Amino acid sequence: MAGETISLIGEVMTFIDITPKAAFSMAGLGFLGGMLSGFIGSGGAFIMTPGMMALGVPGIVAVSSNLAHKFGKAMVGARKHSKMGNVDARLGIFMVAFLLIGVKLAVFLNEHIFNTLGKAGSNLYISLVFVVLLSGLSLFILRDIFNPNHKKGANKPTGFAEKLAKINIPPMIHFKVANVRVSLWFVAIIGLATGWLAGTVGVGGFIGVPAMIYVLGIPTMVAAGTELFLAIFSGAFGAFNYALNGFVDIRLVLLLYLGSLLGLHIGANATKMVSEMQIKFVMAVVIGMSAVSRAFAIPKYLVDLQMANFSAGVARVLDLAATVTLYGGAIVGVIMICRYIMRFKQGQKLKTHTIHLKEHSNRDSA
Amino acid sequence: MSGAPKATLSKTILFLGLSICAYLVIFFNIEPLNQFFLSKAVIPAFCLLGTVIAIAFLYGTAVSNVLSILGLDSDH
Repeated sequence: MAGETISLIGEVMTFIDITPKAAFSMAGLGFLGGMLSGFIGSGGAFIMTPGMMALGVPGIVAVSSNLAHKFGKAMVGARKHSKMGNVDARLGIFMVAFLLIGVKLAVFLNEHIFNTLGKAGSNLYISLVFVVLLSGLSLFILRDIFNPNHKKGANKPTGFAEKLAKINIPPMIHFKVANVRVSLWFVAIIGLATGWLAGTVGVGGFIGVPAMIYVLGIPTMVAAGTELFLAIFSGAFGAFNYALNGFVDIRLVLLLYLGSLLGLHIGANATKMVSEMQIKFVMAVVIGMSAVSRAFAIPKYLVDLQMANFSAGVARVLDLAATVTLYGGAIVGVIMICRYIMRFKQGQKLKTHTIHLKEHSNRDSA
Repeated sequence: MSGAPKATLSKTILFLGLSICAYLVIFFNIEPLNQFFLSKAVIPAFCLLGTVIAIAFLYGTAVSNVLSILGLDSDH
């Protein structure tokens, strides 16, 4: 299936051809991303966007298609999430205003870079954002896992938030559901950052949720619920803006759905069988490998932009390493999830067996 | 007792059929559809997002029902 050509000011961009191999890879990528997304709670895009780029999809098309994919999923899930009642509507409305500015800024920047530096420049920009953010996030999660206070259950993300709450920069706003009083400026900064990230790499929640918890001191459930509310707006606004410029490839969105909606349910089911620490460990491994993968991809983009001088062989090896690390990370994550499920099932089987044995012995003694 | 699973099964078959039809219609007509979706205007952009939501709903419901029949349903 031939790719469509879009004429832009700086470069003529072609959507990739969907061969049976590409279609299968895209659906597989969707499955990996969906499963991790269901397991971790959000953010399959940090596997799906780099994965699509590794398959030859221009970065800006990967981000746009991912946003459209996320938007459809969020819209369908919105009814269920609204029933959960964990959304602070006031906080959501304040954040949405700044979130949309952030998304618009990201779309403008992405398009500007694509128009001036072409596909390689856009890929370089997106990859750099991925490397900085994902490596930071992975280290943060690992620190959280190995923090001895956390294991004792003494971890309360209020230290920094308490200090911020004391900073009185008007206007100060009280959020009823979250039960916090913070300056509007902090809400604005988090909203802008979340929106910019959502528009740049296709997912903002992995920064938005921790920022709401650790910076604003909002309870975890309210932060997660409010983020789902925000995801609908960032997805809709981002996807619409990119679609207006012809960057959304509907074929990719549909192929991603084939795997992701199935993986999402399996991943979500798996969360019932594992501990929070195991979820965090999978998250750190997958995010860390994804960051390493993007770091390997950067030299090729630098060569394409004539900013660095690597031999073609070295660039090719690094490109291959990027693909292997990315898929390796996702596959390792899925294997870890499957192992945790199998261990849980074995434990359950053993429990049932023990109960049966006890029942039998009770009956015999009676 | 047999009423509820039967309804789920018929609903599952209906949604599976509809999503297969939607996928086939879109992929067999991708060239004219892409010409419309990529025309950089407001209405095509809305239509594209509408199509995405419709597919997510049809296929998502089908998958959810299949997994529910298999006893693997989740809150998603």
